[in-house]
Amino acid sequence: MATLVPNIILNAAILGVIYGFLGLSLTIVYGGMRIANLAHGDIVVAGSFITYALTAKFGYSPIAALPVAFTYLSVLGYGLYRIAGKRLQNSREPELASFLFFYGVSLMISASLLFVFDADARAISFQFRPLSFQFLGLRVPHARLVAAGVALALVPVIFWALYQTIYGKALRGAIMNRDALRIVGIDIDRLSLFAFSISFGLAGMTGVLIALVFPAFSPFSGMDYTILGFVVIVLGGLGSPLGALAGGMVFALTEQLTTLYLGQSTGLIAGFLVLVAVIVVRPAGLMGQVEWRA
Amino acid sequence: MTELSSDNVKAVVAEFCDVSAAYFGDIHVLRNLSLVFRSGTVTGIIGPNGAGKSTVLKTFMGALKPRSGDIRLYGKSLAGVPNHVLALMGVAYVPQNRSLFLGLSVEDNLLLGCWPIRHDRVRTRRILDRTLTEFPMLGAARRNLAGSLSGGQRRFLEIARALLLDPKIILLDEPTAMIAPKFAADVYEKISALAAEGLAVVLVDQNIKPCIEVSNYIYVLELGQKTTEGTADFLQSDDKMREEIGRWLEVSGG
Amino acid sequence: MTELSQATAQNTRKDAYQSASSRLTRSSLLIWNATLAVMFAVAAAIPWASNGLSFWFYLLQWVTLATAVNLVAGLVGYLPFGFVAFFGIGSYAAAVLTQFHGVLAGWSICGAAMAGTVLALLFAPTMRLSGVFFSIVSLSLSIVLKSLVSILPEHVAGGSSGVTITAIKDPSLAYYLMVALCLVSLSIATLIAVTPYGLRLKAIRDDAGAAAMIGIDVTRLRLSVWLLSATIASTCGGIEALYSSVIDPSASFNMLISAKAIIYAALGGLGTVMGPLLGALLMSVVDELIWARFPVANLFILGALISLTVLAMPKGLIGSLLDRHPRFRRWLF
Ligand SMILES: Nc1ncnc2c1ncn2[C@@H]1O[C@H](COP(=O)(O)OP(=O)(O)OP(=O)(O)O)[C@@H](O)[C@H]1O
Ligand SMILES: [Mg+2]
Repeated sequence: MATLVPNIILNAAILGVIYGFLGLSLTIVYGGMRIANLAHGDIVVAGSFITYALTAKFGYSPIAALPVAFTYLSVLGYGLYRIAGKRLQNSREPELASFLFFYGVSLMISASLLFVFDADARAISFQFRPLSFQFLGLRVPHARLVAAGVALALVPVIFWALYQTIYGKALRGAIMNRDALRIVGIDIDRLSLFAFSISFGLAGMTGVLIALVFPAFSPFSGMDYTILGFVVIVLGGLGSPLGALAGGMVFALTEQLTTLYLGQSTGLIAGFLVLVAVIVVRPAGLMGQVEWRA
Repeated sequence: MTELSSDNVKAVVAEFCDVSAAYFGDIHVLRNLSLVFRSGTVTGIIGPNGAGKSTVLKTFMGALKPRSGDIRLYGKSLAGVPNHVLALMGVAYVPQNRSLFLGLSVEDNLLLGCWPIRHDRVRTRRILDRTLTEFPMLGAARRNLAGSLSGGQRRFLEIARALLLDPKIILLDEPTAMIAPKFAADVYEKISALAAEGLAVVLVDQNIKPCIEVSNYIYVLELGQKTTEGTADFLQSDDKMREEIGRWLEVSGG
Repeated sequence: MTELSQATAQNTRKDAYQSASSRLTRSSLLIWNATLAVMFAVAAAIPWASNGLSFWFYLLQWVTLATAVNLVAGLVGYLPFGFVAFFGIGSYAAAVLTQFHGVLAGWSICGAAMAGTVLALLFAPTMRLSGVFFSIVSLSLSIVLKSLVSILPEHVAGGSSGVTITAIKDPSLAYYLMVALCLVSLSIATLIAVTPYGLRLKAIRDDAGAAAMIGIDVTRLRLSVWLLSATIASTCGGIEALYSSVIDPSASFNMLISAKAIIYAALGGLGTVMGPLLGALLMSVVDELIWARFPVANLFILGALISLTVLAMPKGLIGSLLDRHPRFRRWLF
């Protein structure tokens, strides 16, 4: 037990970073565009399958899958926004319309993955050497360390883009007050198209990381990740990039520690109960600011 | 337009030609409205609640498409111009409701106001610095979140942002509503100064007295129609008009 | 909300007033009631006429669930992703009462209904939340409930392998119960649409603040719809448990049940009475056809169909039809 707890905490931290990453890509689109992307998890799973194909069929390292997944899936995002984005945003109830639309998209993606890869759960066969690292009495699988490393390297880049560039500021502005964007002369449609493609690309990269961290994925695990993503951003505060990271961390820690002390199936329950508790105490989420939204 | 003899020297910046507009169905909120906005002139638009004053500005900004008639800017029709391009064409708008990004800093709010010229970093920087010194109140709070400003400070931030790119015409929708009297006086002063610099200012206002004082020319709207127009002096000397204005003031509790 | 977006919000508001002002005429209601009567006469005759009872049972189940979810989604404006919690708790209540405690079918259905009401009362505080917050919390609660049920000891709720009901042999009893429940839920929806109660609900959905201002008790009215909707769903779950006689946590608390109910209602037209009925009927048939004809591509086609319908008819079949031809307002509602 003595080394178990630090070990679990370390692992939870790694998971937390990845959950946060998942929330980050979702919050860009949901916060700014009021598009509830119910297919987000399926994009993630598509990223995992791209990793699988590259490692199992072509023998590449999973790292090579990062740019590939990003490119393919951001192109998919671009296409989807071109087809539907404007209509969904202009509809009377963008949230409901996008919820339905992306449920359909989610089914289509699962079906396509099912068609290409069969229904069995897959795991990537690539193995990093050495398999795991040992330090300070803790044991961390190499693959997890790589995944956390990639996420930790990308997060500062995303935050720099969101907080330091004018495009990122415009995107965060969209979360706060969409109508004001038009007044200052921003073409909301192009901004949305851009954000949407990036969000899909990032979701694809999340899929690569998830393939590294979790033993198996199947064409139907998409909905689980969608739920996880929404839980993370609601927990952290809608439209708050920092909140997404905090939400991911809190959820992962609760889940892992409860699993350790109370057993397998209690982890998820505890995670969700923490979400409910946080929302009841602080309806805007950990870092949300309701009063800033128009 | 010959009746405007006193203002004839000032160039027409924008005009509404026989514009009708509706939010839905064929319930027209603006009916055959013709208005002229001139440079160096404060054009006041007054009228009771729901007269369609805000709608005039929203239609100008493209939020509503005219059902008939035409809106012209520098003599050219605005039909088919996407509304985000208007900022680039020299039209600035400060809406009735808040239009700030409350979670961004004062400076970032201004930065986004420079969006159309974002590729020219040097110019953007210069404009920002100029504005922050021109409005010392904003300069002092440049790093604070817009959400932490007072109502009056927010108004000024909105006005400052609207002025960044040297617009030719600025549309102000009740700029002094719900702010402290001290700030309101400053706003009217600023409005006069802008007109003196040659800007066309369109001022929609509920505070009839100061509005008439600051405006050079006034349109009176009721139920989406123009009922009276004329210079401020003319309106104030008109007995029927005074009675009318008195009635609105009672209704709106003023 | 800022000025530019008010245009759309107010449009919706005006729509509500229009539909309210063109009150339904006596004759249109008569036609609707007659249609319902005929449909249910047919439904009641199905067990004699067809061997494939299952298709008809689930058809009625989806009509019921879509109608129930529409009460919350269409009239209050919440999207309850975790709506399945009520269905699941009803299933479990009925199955456990029948199998472990030897309660008669009829009484166990009453138990299912009560379980749903109690659960809805427990979840009522979540109604303070709005938008996606409500949806996600609702979903989370349903997942928590599912996990809780599966870790209960086996002699209490069957554990993760679920419960098999051996006491009831004849599924036609459950079928008739479902026919009755479906009729009841459609009647409730119709009653709500034609009484001032429904008008008040619409006022709340369009602008809760304004509704409170004119003296409508927003909280109480919302709570009543919430309870009503949840009770119908849990009763439905109870009947389904008796019909299928096998239940387990992952099937009874499957998120697809929430999703399907919402989608069917939305495709037909949220906030209307006929919409959920039409949507559920159409989609059940389409579902059946696609699965039979295209065993490989069925999921893909279903997905494409949903996405395309949303793009073409964002307000659902009934809503979009009424938008295009407002004169049908008297007949379709
Ligand atoms: N978004 C909207 N959708 C539908 N009708 C609207 C909308 N906004 C305003 N209206 C209607 O248009 C008419 C004119 O409204 P407008 O806001 O232009 O009036 P106003 O003169 O600015 O009034 P106030 O002094 O209250 O600001 C009113 O009858 C109003 O009900
Ligand atoms: Mg106004």
